[in-house]
Order: sequence, then C-alpha cells, then structure tokens
Amino acid sequence: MFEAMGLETVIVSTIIGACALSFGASAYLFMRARPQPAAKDLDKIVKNAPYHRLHNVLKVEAGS
Amino acid sequence: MKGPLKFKRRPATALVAMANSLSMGDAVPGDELRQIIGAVVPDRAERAALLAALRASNDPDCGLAVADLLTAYATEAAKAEAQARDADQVIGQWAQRLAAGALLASFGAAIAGTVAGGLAFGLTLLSFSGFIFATASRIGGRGKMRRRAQDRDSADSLARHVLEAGKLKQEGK
Repeated sequence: MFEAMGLETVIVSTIIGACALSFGASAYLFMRARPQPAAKDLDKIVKNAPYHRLHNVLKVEAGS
Repeated sequence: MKGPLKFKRRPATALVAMANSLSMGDAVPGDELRQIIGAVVPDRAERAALLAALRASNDPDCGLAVADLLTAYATEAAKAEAQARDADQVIGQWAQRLAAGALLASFGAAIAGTVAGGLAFGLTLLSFSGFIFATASRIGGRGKMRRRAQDRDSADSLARHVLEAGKLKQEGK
C-alpha cells in the first residue's frame, strides 16, 4: 500500500504534519493565555454593592 | 486605631459589604465577588483601606468572613496556576520540541538531497516559524502563570493580615 510512496513524500508529509501539530498546540496555548474579559464594570459593582447590610457595622458614605 | 468616621465607596468597602451580606445569608454573584477581590488584592491603597475598614467595624466576625473569602480566592488562583503550568509543560514544551525536530529534519533532508529547491526552503521556513510561534505562546502562558502566582501570594498575605487586625482589635490594642 505504502510501497509506491517516495522518500520525499514521506519526509515532506512528516515535517508538515509535525509543524501543523506544533502550530495547533501553540494556538491553543495562546487562546488559554488570553485574559478573560471582565464580566461587569468595576465602578458599577462598587456602586451597587450591598452597603445597606453594613448600617450598624461600618459607616459608608452614601455617594460614590 | 481610630479610623475615619465614614468610609468611601470603593472596592475595599464593597468587599466588606459583600462579606457581611454573605454572612447574613444573602446571595452575592460569584463573578462580581471575584472581580472585587481581584481589584483589592494587588492594590496597596485598597489593602490599607480594607484593613482600616475592618478595624473600624463593630462586628468582629466580619474580618473572619473577609479572610475566608480571600483564602478561597487564593485557592482558586493556585488552581489556575497549576493548570497553566500543566499546559506549559505538557503542551508548550512538546510543541516547541516538535517544531525543533521538524526544523532539524528539514535541514537533514535538504543536506542529503532528498528534498531540494523551493520545497526544501519552504519546509525550513515553515518549521522555523513554527518554532518561533511555539516559543512565543509559551512565553505568554508563563506570564499568565506568574500573574496567578502573584495573585495567590497577595491574597494569602492579605488574609493573614486581616486575621491579625482582628486579633489586635480584640485585644484592644
């Protein structure tokens, strides 16, 4: 089945396959390293935190 | 230590409010909590404000709840760091080795004359760019790993300081 393949074909396809695998793995690593986008704006979270629960524990200004 | 009478609305006080709310049985969205802790932990001013707010609070359990949240965040960061290290050592290292092997093989084939001309040049170029791409992706992954390790250390130390602040307050110092 493989006897008809020349040495050149075997070597070229092996090198191209190894490079494709390496590229795929690197692309996966790049995707992992990308920082996750923030779910919400930090200022909005700070503004809407449950401060009403702190009324007799800690005094926090009403405005931002 | 006498803190200011009123604290501003900032990530540190938002964290205290969320911890207090959680200890009273209210639900707080996990992603908001994570984002607030992520804003408090690396910032010196927020860390100082958190310690001051906890010393000024009237509830001694508040510090414990905050310290527990910080420890949970540190554990999460440690897990993410371990995952990033695994990906770097298992995938990153082998991607680099595979590309380096392909580069050597293409050199060998070109020198032996099995592959010649434009094809040999193309293969060498392909494997060389694969090696550079793999190295760049490893550098990016290791940067993330380092950031997570820093987060873990900072959250750990802040949790320790929060507990210390609670102890000092109880002793009336």
